[in-house]
Amino acid sequence: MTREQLEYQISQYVDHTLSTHEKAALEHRLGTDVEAQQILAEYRSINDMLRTQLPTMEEVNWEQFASATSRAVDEADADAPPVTYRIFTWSRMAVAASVLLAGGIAFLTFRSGNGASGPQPVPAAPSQVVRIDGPAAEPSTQPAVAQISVGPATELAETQYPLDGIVYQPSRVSLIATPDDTMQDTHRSPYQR
Amino acid sequence: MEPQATDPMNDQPSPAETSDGQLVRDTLSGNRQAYDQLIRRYQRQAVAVSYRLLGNTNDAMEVTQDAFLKSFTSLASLQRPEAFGGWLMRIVSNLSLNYRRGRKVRSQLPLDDMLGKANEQAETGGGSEWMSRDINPVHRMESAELGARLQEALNQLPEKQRLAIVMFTIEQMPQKDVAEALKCSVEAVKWHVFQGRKKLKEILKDYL
Repeated sequence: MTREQLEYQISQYVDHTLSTHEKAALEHRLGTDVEAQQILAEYRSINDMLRTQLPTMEEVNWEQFASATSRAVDEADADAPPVTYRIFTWSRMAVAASVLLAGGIAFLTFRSGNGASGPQPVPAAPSQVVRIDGPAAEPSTQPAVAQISVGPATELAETQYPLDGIVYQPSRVSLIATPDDTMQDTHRSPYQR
Repeated sequence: MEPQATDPMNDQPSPAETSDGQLVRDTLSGNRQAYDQLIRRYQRQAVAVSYRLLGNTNDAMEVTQDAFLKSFTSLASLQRPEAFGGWLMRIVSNLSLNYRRGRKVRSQLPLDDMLGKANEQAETGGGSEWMSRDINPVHRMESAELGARLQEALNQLPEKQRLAIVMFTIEQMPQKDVAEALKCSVEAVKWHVFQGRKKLKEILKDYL
């Protein structure tokens, strides 16, 4: 048992709200546990202070206070509908609400049971297509800057069956961003790895 | 000195007396005298609880009258008539806390006139038709400092813990009524009392 649990038990012991079994167990512990005895003494002291040391209320003539309160209730009651009327009003409202609710449920049930007269799907409104035209592509005024070379170098074509090479070997593709022929990779055979 | 529990104006219902539930039902049937019995049964407890929250007897009486009015006008909404006591205390504590927060409750009665008369008598050392002060100087001197410190400590507690301590520990209301007033379980009431007690122990350690 933690200290918190012990304190909670002692608090209930002070208030006489422990079960018989819990009370007996705690009393057994209180017989030997000095710390528990200390906590019990503190809690009892607080209880005593709260019941005897707080400022006392001035005495009230309760008979007169009750009469005055009763008159106030009479005055308030005279301005309001009778309690019985209010009860009947609430009762009537409750009955009316129940009838409306039952009627509504019956109506909906009847409609859904007929099927044909059930709620029809509402056609979707035609969607609008908005076309937005961006700027048109402008034709280039400069010469092409890229050339694509596919296949083996031209000097190998006669002796090394370049067509077989193209068919059976992966082709080489050179992309060179210039029209200058000297820059093309023409010195490697498509059979070279 | 507060009236004792044997005060015929403040008796709690004994087995032979009409139960709260029956009085509530009678009131709802149009029997106004039944509600007067409820007023007499709970007025002391209501004023005492309110006083512990407000620290002023006049304010406590004003709030209590307002609570009785409110409970009368909404009596039909009470789900369990037998829980009237706890329900009334919930109204009392809510009104008291609202009053503390600054909202003035409209006085339904010329309380000021009645208390004015009482105050005049108190000033001249005479008794009061409504209230009389504890004029024992020795008792007041001894308990003044501790009483003020205790009240201050109570005011520092969170609302639920303060209400639980006030209703259960100080006013010794039944736990089920406190639970009804706080809208919680009886177990929660025990826990609030315990937590409040622990905090008070810490705050008041110099006095223990």
